[in-house]
Amino acid sequence: MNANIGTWKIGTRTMQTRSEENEFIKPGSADSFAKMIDTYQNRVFGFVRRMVPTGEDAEDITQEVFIRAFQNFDRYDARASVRTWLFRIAYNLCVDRARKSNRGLQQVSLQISPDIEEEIDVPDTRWQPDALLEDAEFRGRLDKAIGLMSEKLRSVLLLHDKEDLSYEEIATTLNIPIGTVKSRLFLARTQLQNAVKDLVEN
Amino acid sequence: MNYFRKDEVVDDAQLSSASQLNVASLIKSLSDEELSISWRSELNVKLMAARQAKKKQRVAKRVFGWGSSLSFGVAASAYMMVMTNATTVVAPNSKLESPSFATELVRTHQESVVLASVSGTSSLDKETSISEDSYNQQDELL
Repeated sequence: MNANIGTWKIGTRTMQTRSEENEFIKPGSADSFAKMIDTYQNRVFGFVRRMVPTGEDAEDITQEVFIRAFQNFDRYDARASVRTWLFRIAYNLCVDRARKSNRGLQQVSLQISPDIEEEIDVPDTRWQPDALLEDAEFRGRLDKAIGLMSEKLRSVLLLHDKEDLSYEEIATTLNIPIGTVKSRLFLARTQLQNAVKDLVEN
Repeated sequence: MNYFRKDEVVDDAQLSSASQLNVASLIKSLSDEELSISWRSELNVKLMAARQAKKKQRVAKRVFGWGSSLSFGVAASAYMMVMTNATTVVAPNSKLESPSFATELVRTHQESVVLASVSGTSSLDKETSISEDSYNQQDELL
C-alpha cells in the first residue's frame, strides 16, 4: 500500500482510502454536511430500499439516517469512515423498522448442502449480468429472492457486492466478526444463485 | 449429512469461486433508483427543524446552567448570613432623627428615673404615653 496514493487493494477490490473518502467531511460544518448528503443519499437509499418492503419506508428511513447523522455530526470522528458510519445508522434503522412492524429479524438458516455447492461451482457462460437483468422476469425473481432473504444475509450481500464495502468495514458496520461476514456472504450468494438458477439455465 | 456450519470459516478461495463471483457481478449490476428533488427539499426542511431544536436545546442548557448558578449563589449567601449570625440592621425612621423628639425622649426618661427613685414606681406607662404624644406631634409637624 502506498500512503501517497489514494487507493489500495484488498483482495480483488480497489478501495478509497479513508482520508480521501472523508476529505470533505468537517464536523460541524453545514456545507460539509450538505456535500455528504449529495454524495451518499442515493447509495444509502439503494441499500435501504432493498432492506425494507416499500419505497415509501425507504425514503423515510433514508431521511432519518441523515437527520440522525446531523444530530451527531458535531461528535463525528473524521478519522472514521463516513460511509461505514452512515450504513451503520441505516442498518440500525432498518432493523428498528422491521421490529416495529412485528416482522423482527428473520433467523438465518446457516445450513447448505455441500452438494449444492459442488453443483453450482462450475463456470457458466450463461451468467451474463447485463443480459440477464434485461429480462423482466429475471429481475423480478432476483428482487423477490433478495427480499425473501433474511436481513442478516441481505445486509452483508448488499454492503459487499453492491456498495463495495470491505469485510472489515462490514464487520464494523454490523458489529460482527469478519469470519461471520464471510460466512453470511457465501450463504447469501448461494441462496440467490439457487433462486434464479433455473431461469439462467433455461 | 455433512452441512456447512455457522462457526465454519469460509475462506477467500470459496468466496472467489466462479459461482460466487457470478452472483456478485449480478448484484453489482442491479440498477439504482434515484431520490427526487422533492425528497431532498423535504429533508432540508427536516434538517432545519432539527437545527432549530438543537439551538433551543443549547440555549436551554445555558439558561438552566445560569439559573442553577444563580440559585446556588443565593442559597450560599443566605447560608453564610445565617452561619455568621449577621445582625439585621434596621434603618432608623427619619422621624426619630428629629432633635426635638430625641430631646423630649431623653427628658422624659430622666424624669421617669427621678420619679422612680423617689416613689419606687415604674415609669414605663408614662414614658410610653409621652413618647406616643411626641410622636404624634412630630406627625402633625411633618
